[in-house]
Amino acid sequence: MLLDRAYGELAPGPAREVEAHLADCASCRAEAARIEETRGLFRRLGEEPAPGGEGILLAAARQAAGAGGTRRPGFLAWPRLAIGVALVLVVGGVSVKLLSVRRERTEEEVVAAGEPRTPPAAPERPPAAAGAERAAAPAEVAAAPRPAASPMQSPAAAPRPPEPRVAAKSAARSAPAEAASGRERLAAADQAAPPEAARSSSAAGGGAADAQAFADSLVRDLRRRRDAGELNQAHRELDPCPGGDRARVAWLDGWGKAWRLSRTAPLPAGMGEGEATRDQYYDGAGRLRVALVDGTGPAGHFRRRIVLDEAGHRLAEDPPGSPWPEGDLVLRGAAAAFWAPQRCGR
Amino acid sequence: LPTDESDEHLLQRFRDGDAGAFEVLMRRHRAAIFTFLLRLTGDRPLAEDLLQDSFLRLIGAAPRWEPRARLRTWLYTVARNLAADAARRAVHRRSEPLDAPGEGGRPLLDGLAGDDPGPDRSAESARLRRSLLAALSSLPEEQREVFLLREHGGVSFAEIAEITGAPVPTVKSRMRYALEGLRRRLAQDGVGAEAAAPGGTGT
Repeated sequence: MLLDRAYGELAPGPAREVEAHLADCASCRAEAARIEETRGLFRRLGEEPAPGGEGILLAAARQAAGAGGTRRPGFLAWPRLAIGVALVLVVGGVSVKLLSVRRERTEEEVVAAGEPRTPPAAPERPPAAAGAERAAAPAEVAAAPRPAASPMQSPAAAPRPPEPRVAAKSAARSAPAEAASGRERLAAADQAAPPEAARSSSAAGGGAADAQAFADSLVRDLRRRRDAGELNQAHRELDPCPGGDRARVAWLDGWGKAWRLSRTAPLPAGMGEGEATRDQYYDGAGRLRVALVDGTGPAGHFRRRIVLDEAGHRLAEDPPGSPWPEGDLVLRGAAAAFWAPQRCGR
Repeated sequence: LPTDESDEHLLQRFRDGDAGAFEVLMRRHRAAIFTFLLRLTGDRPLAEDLLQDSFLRLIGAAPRWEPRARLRTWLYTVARNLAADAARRAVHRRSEPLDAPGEGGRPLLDGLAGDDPGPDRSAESARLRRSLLAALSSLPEEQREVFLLREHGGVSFAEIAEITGAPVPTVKSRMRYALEGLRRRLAQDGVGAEAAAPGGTGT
């Protein structure tokens, strides 16, 4: 009753009774005074200033509101995403993705149609502190898919339209520190990349060399963009289950598009006991173009490098041999695959 | 953004497509929720992540939100549940508590003590602040969350019971233990009534 009284939770009737009782009860009065005293001390702690990150929330809110109100049924996958899953939001840009997973296709249509979009919120921090922050203009996003006419062209050599910049990145903590830790976490995955562009005998025609060159430059280019802070790394650890993914890593741009998806899971069916990381790189149109598989199976450690053309056909697979099962790779929709709930028993 | 508009009305406007209404809500509650998360977890980076997550969930839940509870209570509920999930995962991963109180309470205290005391706080009030945060970190988890939800969040005992899944009498006894534990711990630190209200006895 004294607690209810202290926090104003008593109805008027009981409140009067308690006051009457207090008048007659010295120990009760002392107890009530002790409660007030402790509360008084803690009130002096006050409130902490809120950290940065408003920008990302506003951008997300605008995105939701801009979709014709937030009433759209089922446009969010929150419950399924969150339950039982260790979800680490590495940088703010990632959070935006959470809100647009279900709308990925719509987004692409919008972008393709060149429809202007709400620009994200301006960075909150002063320019000096906003090293990694850049404003994004809608037009830049529309121009994002890069190897447009000639998909085999090296992205590095191609005339580059302005890149979609990472917007509203102020969400997370200091960007350089994040980037560093992100790179650290990726160090292991990076080693999976064969040092040289191995030529494969399984590729047909003169396209193979081009395919290799494209693959190399794509991987290089994406790593450069990651290092420059243009791509944010998101990392999910999933509750282990038989046949399910153990971990996923994605590199997402400010609009939630995944350029790289790395998936660690058991070996595909029929390949025996073991685990492999499928490190997959995507072009500007979201198509899988390079997959680096690094795993351990019954025969020990192995690596596989697969290069695909824009239609998803394999241009090269190295080392040659029985092809890596296609169903085990994510050919499109990398972002959706990253956020998809855990699936067991495959 | 001075406005007297109720939280619930703002949320309604946000549901109808007005992102500005969300901005008002965010500015109104973000610091308070962050403070709650920071003192609950004692881990600043984690608290920042959970804060973002809480508000993203608000955006996500807006279309389905029913005015059964106050928005404020809803926010504290989500923040508390996210923190509880994070703690569970941390236990699962390291097989040791995220912020074991008592002797193991150092990480929690460190996280809280990292707060910038601000230029206008005297050394004495900085000392009081440290004592208060240390006392808070010494509480068992379930007492700390009840205390913070009631004292800082203004969440009623009945609502706390719903949030934590404990019966109301249990919630209240946790609150009693929390207040008692805090008072004892502060007294050990030489912080007592005289700091709160001059003229008190401090015992």
